[in-house]
Amino acid sequence: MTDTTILREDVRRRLDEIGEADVLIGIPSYNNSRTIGHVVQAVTAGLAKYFPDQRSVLVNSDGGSKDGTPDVVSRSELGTTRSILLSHRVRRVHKVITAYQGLPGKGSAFRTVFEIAQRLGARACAVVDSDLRSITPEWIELLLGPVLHEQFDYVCPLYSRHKYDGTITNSIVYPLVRTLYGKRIRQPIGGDFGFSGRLAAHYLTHNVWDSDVARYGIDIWMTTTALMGDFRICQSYLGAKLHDAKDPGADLSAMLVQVTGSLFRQMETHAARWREIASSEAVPEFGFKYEVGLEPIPVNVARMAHTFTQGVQDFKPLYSAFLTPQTRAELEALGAGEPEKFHMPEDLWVRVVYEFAAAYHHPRLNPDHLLKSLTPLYLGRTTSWINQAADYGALDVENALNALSERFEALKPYLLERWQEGRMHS
Amino acid sequence: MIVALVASVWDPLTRFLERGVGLLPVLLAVLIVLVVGLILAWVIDAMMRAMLRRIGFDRVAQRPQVADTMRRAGLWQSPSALVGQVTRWLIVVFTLIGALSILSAEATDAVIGAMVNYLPRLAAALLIFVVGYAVSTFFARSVLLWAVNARLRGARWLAGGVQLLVGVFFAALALDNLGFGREIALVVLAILLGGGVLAGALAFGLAGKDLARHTLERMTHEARDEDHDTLSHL
Repeated sequence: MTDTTILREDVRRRLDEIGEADVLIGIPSYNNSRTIGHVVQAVTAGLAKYFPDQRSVLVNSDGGSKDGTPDVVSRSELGTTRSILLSHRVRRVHKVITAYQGLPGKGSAFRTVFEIAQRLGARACAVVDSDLRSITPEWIELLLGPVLHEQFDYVCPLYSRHKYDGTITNSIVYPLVRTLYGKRIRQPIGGDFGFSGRLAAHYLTHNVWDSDVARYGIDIWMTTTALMGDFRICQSYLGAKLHDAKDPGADLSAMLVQVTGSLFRQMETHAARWREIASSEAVPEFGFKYEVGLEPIPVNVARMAHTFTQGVQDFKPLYSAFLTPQTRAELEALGAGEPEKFHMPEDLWVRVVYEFAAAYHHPRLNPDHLLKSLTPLYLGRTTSWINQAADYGALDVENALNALSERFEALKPYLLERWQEGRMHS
Repeated sequence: MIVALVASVWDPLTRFLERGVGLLPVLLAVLIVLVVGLILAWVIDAMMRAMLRRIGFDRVAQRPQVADTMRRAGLWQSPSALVGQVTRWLIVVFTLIGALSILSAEATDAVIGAMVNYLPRLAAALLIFVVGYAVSTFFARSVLLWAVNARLRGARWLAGGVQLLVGVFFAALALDNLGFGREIALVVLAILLGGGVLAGALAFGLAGKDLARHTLERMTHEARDEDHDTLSHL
């Protein structure tokens, strides 16, 4: 147990009352009163249905919500979902509702969950987002089951998503994590994870809680730390992932800076390990896969293609500081033509990602400026993907993403070369 | 009469020649100092370049940040050539002061005194220029990135305008520090700011009213598109 606790006195007293737990579910929240009730009900139903004999605790780690989110958690009970249970649960689910300490962000909320799990000696834990609309009781079984019954340490989610959704994950995070660390984890930043008490304790040994990990980089950090700690990892198919309507103020550029910044920082930390990894392997999967009907997504391809063209022109002086002349020339050659026929070759996109990673490693620009300048190129890649996948079914999508990931793996020597070299070719 | 006239011309001429002959050694000394000083400046410049090249000083310029900064500052020479040139010009300046001291000790003291008094101001002004360049570049890049990612047309013009305004502001500060051109710099800044806003308003409101209507229509149209674009990137 850590001496320097971040738990408040009232929480520690509550944990003393509870004593011990077998399973723990953490729900980080901030102003999610509209959706968190449904999440709590699904979690409670999942615990009752699949783990009736386990001592269970639900932790709501809140960031100071102003809309009464903790009250909703406190009031939410099994309610009408009781009818779905085959047997009434034997043990009640304890609730711990607390405002987390530290930097505002999901990472600090998770730190509180890890510490409570450690104090209660939980064997299996899971964290789920508080804005989920598609969570079902089965998610709890799929996230906790592999840990409790199969001795896995880390369970990543697998979702059914629209082919145009999750393009940052599909175009950057999945192929890069697979190439760097050698495991084909399809949703490394899925947000809903299962993990063992052993792994929670391991997370607490790292001193990252004053960094960006505490704010927004927790998902990739958890996955990378589990990978680099040689913990047993698997994936569980959870079905569709539907969130609450997204924040209209959410800015793509800022999102891209957060995700790629966190990813590149992890590359720095584990450079000695990933440089030695030459291939990737599949990880075990749980859950029953099925087709999900997803609503069509309207996209404005012309606007995205225009942003790409403008970015390539206007960012020329920036790109000349870190992109190779060959990459710049190929990007400039893509600009002309109809947006509906826009195509960015996969190898070019892979080289762009690798050159950005190398530039982050050998700072040539302000890191924030560097990562923001990726936005138009990412929109170019997204335009190309939307054109390419227009007639794709779910299997075609996975095959195409697999092909892209194989190009990332094939060009890994190029990344190593750029990483070592660190000099501009001009 | 003629004798008196010759005498009146001859006397000043004699005094001039006497003074000239008296000055000759001084002028000769000045010439020697100048020639030796200038030769020394060029020789030391060449030696400095050769030595720095031999110890690999030019590799500094291959660092991307240094290369980028040097290019932006309009410096295309190698670092060794740059150090050589600075050394050469320093020696030239000291040579000139030395030559001046042969002619007039008072004048030299006055020049050196003024230079010494002015040095801190000059150093501060240089520092302000350097900081101003860095700050204006940072702001210009931030604006450019924001504008392009927000899909604004004329992003480069906007970024260039910001760099100019911030640059002029720092130039005004530096000139103020040097003690001259304060009013000019302030007036330039005011003209740029006020004139820019007025010109923009006039161009957009009068000459470009159709463009204004078209732009606003396009902006609202794009905003409506944005609402319908529900792509989730994560």
